[in-house]
Amino acid sequence: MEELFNAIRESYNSLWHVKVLGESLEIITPMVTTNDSFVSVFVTKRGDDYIVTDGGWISAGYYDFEADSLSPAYNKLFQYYLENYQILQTVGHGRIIYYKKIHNQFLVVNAVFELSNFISAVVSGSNIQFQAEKRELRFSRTVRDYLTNGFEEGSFQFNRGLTPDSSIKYGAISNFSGHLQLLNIVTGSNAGYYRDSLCRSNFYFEAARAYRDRYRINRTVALLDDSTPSVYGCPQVGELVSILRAKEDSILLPWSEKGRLPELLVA
Amino acid sequence: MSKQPKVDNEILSILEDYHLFISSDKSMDMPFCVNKVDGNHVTALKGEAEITAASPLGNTTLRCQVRDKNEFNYSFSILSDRIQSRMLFRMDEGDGTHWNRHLPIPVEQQQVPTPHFHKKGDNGIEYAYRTDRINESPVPLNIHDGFDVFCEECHINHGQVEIKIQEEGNLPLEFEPEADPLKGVNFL
Repeated sequence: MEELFNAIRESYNSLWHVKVLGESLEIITPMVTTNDSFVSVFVTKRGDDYIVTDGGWISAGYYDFEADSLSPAYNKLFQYYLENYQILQTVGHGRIIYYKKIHNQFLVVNAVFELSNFISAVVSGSNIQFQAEKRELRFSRTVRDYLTNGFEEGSFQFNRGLTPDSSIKYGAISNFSGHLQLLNIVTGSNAGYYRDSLCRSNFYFEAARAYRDRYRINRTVALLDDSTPSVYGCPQVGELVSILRAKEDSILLPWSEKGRLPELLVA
Repeated sequence: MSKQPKVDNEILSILEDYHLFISSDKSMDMPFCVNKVDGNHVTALKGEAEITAASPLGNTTLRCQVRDKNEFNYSFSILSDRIQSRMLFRMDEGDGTHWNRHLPIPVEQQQVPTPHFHKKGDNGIEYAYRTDRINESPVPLNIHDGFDVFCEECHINHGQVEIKIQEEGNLPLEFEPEADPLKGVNFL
């Protein structure tokens, strides 16, 4: 039996690999994610300190991570692991980099262990279909597919802010007739989520008001998921929709009327 | 082998055509130009070109994405309009290590670092693999050599290949082979 143990240990140990990248090391670890990737961590030095990071891979989407996940349940999970492993974050090369900073060289291994477990947990967790976000993701995908296939290639940039570092991201930004159009995707599995989504969309459009001239924004369009009458047709949602409809400078378009989109955006 | 692997049923229904397509001679216009800023990733460049195959499988395109505008970080994909998932074949360099966990082999053999190819197996499940040529190539593999390796593996243009990576209106990219992804990043 001891031989079996030795074979397991040898096999497991052989899963470690390293690539030298300038002043940093990419370490491929034996940790995995449920969507079939091995976790890499990056180790570098700053002054007398060692830094162990994810290299920005989580936010860059290298693990097929849905960085724009709005699920409250998932955010809780992410925050839990972030705090539990005491992970810090910074911004570099336009993405979020998660890291740990260590002074004692002999504790670097602990940071590698914690960070790789962190990456494994939050990436695997992002693949869980939480009840509340299922519909949200599905509708977002429907909209993206329609916009991608129904218009000239490259007409839309998805999940983008007006500037690269803005945390206010619109569902899509298009550029027709020499102007910018902002689109938001509004959906939710119940009236509460739907209202939150509608309010966020409205607030994001308000936030763009000051930039209308600078970025030549001529339309803001909220795309409303009307596929579930019990949500879209309920009074709590209807009340907000009619308040927003009364505003003259914003367009609310139920998805069943999506055929009007070209005329709304291009004209 | 814990979860049910994802089976591409569409590929299963056209498996024979798929194999014929992958192994058949293909041609495309050279040089292949990768010069557009990718709409969804401002730091990425992409290029697309039509591919014709002796045994065609719908309309097929070769797409290249160069991430971080770094010529050691890229992927080549052959896409078809015959299937929903579109992806027929792919090569990756510079991103994550794949885990072929559905193959009944020891875990250290299931681990496939980049550069590697992805294709669909006879069971409809995608897997990653490396070739002898990749194993003998320098690490990391720059995109010019990578393109040559890719074209050889999927039989494009019999060695007559050339790729141009240059953002429209800008100077050609110049990257060190050991480009440090953390260079210039401040850790407080």
